[in-house]
Amino acid sequence: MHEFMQKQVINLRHISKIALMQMGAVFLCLVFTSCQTYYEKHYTFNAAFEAGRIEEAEKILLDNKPRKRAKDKLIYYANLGTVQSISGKYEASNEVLEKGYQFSENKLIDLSGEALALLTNPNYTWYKGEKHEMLYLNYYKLLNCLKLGDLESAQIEARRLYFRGLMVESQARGDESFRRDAWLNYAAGLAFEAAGDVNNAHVFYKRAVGAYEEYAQFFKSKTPEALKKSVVKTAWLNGFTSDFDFYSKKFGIQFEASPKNGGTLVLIWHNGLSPVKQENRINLYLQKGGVSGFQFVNTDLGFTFPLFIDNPSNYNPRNFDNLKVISVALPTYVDRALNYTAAKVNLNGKPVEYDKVEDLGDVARKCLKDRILLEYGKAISRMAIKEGVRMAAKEATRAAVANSGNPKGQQNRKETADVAASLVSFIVNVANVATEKADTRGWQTLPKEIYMTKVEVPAGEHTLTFSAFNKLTGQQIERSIEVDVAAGQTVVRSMTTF
Amino acid sequence: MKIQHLIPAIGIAVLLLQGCRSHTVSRLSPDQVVDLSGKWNDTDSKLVAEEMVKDALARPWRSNFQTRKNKQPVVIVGIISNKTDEYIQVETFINDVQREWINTGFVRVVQNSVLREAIRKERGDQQQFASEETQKKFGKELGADYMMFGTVINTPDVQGKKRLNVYQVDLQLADMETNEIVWIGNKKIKKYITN
Repeated sequence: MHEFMQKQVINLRHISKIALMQMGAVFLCLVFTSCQTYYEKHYTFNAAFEAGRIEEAEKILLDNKPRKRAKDKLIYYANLGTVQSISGKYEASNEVLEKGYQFSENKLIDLSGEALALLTNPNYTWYKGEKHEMLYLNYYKLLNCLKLGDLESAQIEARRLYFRGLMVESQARGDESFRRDAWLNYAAGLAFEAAGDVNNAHVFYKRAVGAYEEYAQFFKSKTPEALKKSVVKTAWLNGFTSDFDFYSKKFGIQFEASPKNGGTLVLIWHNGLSPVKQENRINLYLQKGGVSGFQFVNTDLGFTFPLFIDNPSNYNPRNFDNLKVISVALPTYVDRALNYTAAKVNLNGKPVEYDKVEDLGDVARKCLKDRILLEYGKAISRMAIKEGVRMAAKEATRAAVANSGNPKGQQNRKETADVAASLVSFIVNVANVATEKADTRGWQTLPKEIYMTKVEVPAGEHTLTFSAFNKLTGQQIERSIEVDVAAGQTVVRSMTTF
Repeated sequence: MKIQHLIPAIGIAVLLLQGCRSHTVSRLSPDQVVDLSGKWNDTDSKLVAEEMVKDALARPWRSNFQTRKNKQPVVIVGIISNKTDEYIQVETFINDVQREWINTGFVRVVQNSVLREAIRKERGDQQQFASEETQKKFGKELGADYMMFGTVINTPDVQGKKRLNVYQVDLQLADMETNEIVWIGNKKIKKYITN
């Protein structure tokens, strides 16, 4: 969880009754302004999905199709695609995920939305997805294709993952940035191996090994054991002796020949729900005549930004804008409870090992952290623009009132103009604060953790048993999957627990 | 804040909006060299194919064969493995190599095993459905004299924002009867990328 720390050095001298009234007005305004996050706005859907009521969640989505110009269309496609994939409607899921993919490829720019976002908040722009979310659109499609046995399409998605991955890689700033998604490279390798293309499978397994090594710097994660075996195996099958020697020595393993006329069984377990975005907001109450220094701190993402505001105008007890409120809002992540922390997988009654292949909570946080400086810059620019608008409105009101009416009584009119200008300034300030909002949009149906087991089996029928303990309800769930594996075939199945 | 303070604010707004360019598509000539990421691309594939086939043709194996057999050698382009950690469309490179062989006019090229099967299936269909005078006969395929194999490897070197991508393509030609390697060629491509 995150926490905010403010170090304020506000000069609180001369707080007048007017200032107290203003504080009250600002407070009321903030209370009545919608500060719901994207997750909270779609709570009905999220509650159904989190409780595992998939049919209900799908119905909610289908009954609430987005408008043509809805800025969060990508999230709709992503959520619907995930829900349909979980409920086994793989073709329907692929269709809707493809719409999401095409949408994100087009990179729509809405100039009026971008301009409005500068004056209000970023929620008026098209949501184009976090780096990992864009990749996961293709992952779910790849998974659906593997489950359908459509290996040609699975390879297309693997290639798309590679090219999208290149885009993410090119945006990385130095070695400290998130560059490659390890599990998605691993999954792409699985798709090629399933299709019998051991050359490309080896390429992607190598990429995955490299990416897990990068992960080790950020997330304390380990290279999955099954991947180590796969990279050694594909090096052998390709006759790449130098790679074979390198990886078998590096991991201390030797090539194990596959059973004759056997196949491969892959079980992927999506566990829990990825963290959701929340607003990390700071409201600064500035009294005229002082210099204020603040620190914007978020311990969850691990950043601190200094913020200094010079506010030297003279204090006037009759003015409405002696007190100014400045608001900066940034997105951050908050975890959702993880109900299942361990599971057992048995194949024909015998336990099999599985590896943790991805922690999407970690990946999501890393992706957000990588771009938070840019977000902060945008928030500060927004604050400056809003302040500019406030000043312009104030000066325009002052000029309009001062130049109106009879030239007699000019002194009275000047005083009236000052009061009117400060009132307008105050109202615009309140509007600026009320419209400030972090972009808390995100793909909320992604899992928190992904585990995988990959076993080579003789051709024929096999029974996979999956059992997990729900620490919240105290109940044990057990699911059995009957699988018929043909010689040379790779069968992929997945489980989802919330 | 004074009215002059509006200027930087407007400046920032303009800068931010400038980043919002609309989506555009430009049609380029296929011969135009475009290097974006510094990774293996269509230009590398084409250049390597051209240069390596040119080098192969200039070596003694071809004249030796012609002196011996008094005919053009028949070549099949076999497996070219991608040993890099990048996804490379090896099929495109194989096609580029085949095209170069054919375009020289000194060598004849036959299909690889996968497409041979497809042609045989089609020929089988012809026996049943095509008119007798247009049917093609079995057993008249051209046997290859030489088979080409190869690998593409890369050795990237990275320091900070600088990256060196070195690709090496190794190709060899083997006599189909004797397994004798009659030609070995390699071509390196070096790309220096700064971010």
